[in-house]
Amino acid sequence: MSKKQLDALFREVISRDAAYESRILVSERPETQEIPEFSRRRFEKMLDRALDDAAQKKPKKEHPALSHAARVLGKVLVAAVACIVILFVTVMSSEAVRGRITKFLVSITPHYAEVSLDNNDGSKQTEKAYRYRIGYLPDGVELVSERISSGTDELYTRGEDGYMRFRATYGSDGTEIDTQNAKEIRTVPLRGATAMLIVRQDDSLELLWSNEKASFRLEGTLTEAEILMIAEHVQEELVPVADVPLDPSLEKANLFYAPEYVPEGFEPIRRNYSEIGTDLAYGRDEDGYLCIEVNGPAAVSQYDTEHAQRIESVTVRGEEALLIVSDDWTTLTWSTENAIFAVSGTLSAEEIVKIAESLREIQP
Amino acid sequence: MLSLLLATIENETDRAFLSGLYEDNYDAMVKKARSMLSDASAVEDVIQDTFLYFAKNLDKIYKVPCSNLPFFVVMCIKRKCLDYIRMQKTRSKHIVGSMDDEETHFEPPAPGLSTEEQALLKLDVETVRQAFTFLPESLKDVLRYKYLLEMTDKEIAKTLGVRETTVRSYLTRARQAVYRICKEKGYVEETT
Repeated sequence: MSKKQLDALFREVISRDAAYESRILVSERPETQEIPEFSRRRFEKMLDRALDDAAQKKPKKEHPALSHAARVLGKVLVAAVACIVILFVTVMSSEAVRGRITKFLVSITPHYAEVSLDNNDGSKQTEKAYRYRIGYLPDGVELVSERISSGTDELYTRGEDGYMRFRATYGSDGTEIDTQNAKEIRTVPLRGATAMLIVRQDDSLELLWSNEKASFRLEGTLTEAEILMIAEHVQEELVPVADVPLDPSLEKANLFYAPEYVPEGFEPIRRNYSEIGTDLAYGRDEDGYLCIEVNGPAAVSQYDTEHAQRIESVTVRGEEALLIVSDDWTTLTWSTENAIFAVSGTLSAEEIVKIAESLREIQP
Repeated sequence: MLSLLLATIENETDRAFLSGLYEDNYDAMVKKARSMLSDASAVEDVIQDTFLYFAKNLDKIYKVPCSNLPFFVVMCIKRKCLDYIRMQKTRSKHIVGSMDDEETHFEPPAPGLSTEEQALLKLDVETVRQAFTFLPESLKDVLRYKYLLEMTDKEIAKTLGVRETTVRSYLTRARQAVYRICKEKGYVEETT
C-alpha cells in the first residue's frame, strides 16, 4: 500500500466532490450573469495581453512529420560537417594550410606584417650557392639592373611607366609584406605549392613564394597570368660561392655605428663590429635593455607586431622609419641605400628616437 | 504561415474558453470573493488575477474535467483571496485562524502511511467521499488544494501562511479524520 495509491484515492474523492459542488453551483446560477461593463472590458483587455504573452513564450508546436524531417536533416548536416572537417585535416596539403595561416596572419596585422615562410632546412651557405634567373619575360619587359650578393635582385622596365622586380633571398626565413597598400591578398597554386598574391591599390601585383632553399618576391605592373607565368619559369642553378660577385656598393658601405646619446645608467654589455655590421647592447639595472643593430640591405629582420599597441611612421635621420610600440618594448627601424637600422629596447618611443638620431659612423 | 495560422486559431480557442468560463461563473466567483474580502474593490482584482493565472497555465486548466470546472474556479478564487489577504497582512481569522491556532500542536507526520490511511485504501471511493463531506471546511480545503488545484505542499503552505511540515500534517490528519468518520458513521466495521 503506497502513498501513490492513497493520493489516487483522494484525487478521485476530491474530483467527485468537485463535480457534486459544481452541480450545486450550476443549479444556483442566475439565468443571466450581470457582469459590469467596466469589469468585462478590464477582463478582455487583461485576457488579450495574457494570451499574447503566453503565445510568445509557448514553444512552437511542429508537425510530427516536419519535426522528424528536421531532426534527420540536422543529423545529416552534422555528419556532413564532420566529413568536411576530416577531409580538411587529412586531404589539404601542408602548403595549403601554410597559405591559409599566412593569410590569417596578414589579416590580423593590418599595418605591417612580418610573415615567416620558413621552408629552409637550416643549412647555411656553404661552398656552393643557389642562383635564380628569370627564364621567361613577357613582351616589352627589359632588364635594367642586376645585383647578386646574398640573393638575387633584378629590376626590369616595361615601356614608360611599367616595371618588374624579382628578388630571391637565399636561406632567408623572413618576408616582409606591406599590407597597407594591398586591396586583395589571396593564395594561388604555384610550382606544385602555394604562393601569396597581393593586389595593390594601384593594381600592380606582388607574388611571394618559397622553396626549401630561398624565398622569392616578384612584383610589378603585370597581369596575374604574366606574373604566374614568370614565376613558373624561374630557373635555379648551383654556382660556387666564389663565383657569386659581391655588390660593389656593399663593399663601400660603412655599417659601423655608435650612439652619441645613451640614457643615464645604461652600460655596454655587448659590442660587436663585424662584416655583418654593428650589434650593440646596453643594460641598466635588472630590466633596462637597449639594442642597436646596423646590417646590410640584404639582411632580413623580424619585428613582433602581434603585441604592438601602436605602429606608426616617423622620420629619423631624414628617412621614413617604422616605430613599433608594445607594452614593454619599443622598436624603431629604418633603412638607407646601404644599411638597415634597428634601435630597440625597454625605453619610451621618445628616448629610442633620440638614440637613433644620435647614431654616428665610426671606424672601430 | 501555417504555424502562424494555427497559433491564431489556438489563441482564439483559448480566448473563447476563458471568456466562457468567466461569464458562466462570474456570479459564483463574486459571491465567494465577497464572502472572504472586506474590500469590495479587491474582489475584481482577485478575479482578474485568477484568470491571469488561468491564461498562463492553460495546460493545467484544460486537464480539469468540465463537470468540475465551476467548483474548480471557485476554489481558485478562494486561494487567490487567501493570497490577497496574506499580502495585505489582514488575515481573516475565521478562515485561517483555527489552523494557525492548531499549528503549534502538530507533529511532523511519520514517514509512510498511518494505520488509518492504510485502512482507507481498503474502502471504496464513494464511501470515502461520503465521509469526506463531514470533514471541517478547513481540512476539506487542504485536500482540495492538494488534489483539485494540484498545488504543491510549498504552495499550500504559502497560501495558508504555515510551514510545509504543517501542511503535510494537515493532509495526514485530514485523511485519518476521514477514516474515523467512516468508522463513526458505520461505513466500515471495527478492526482490531
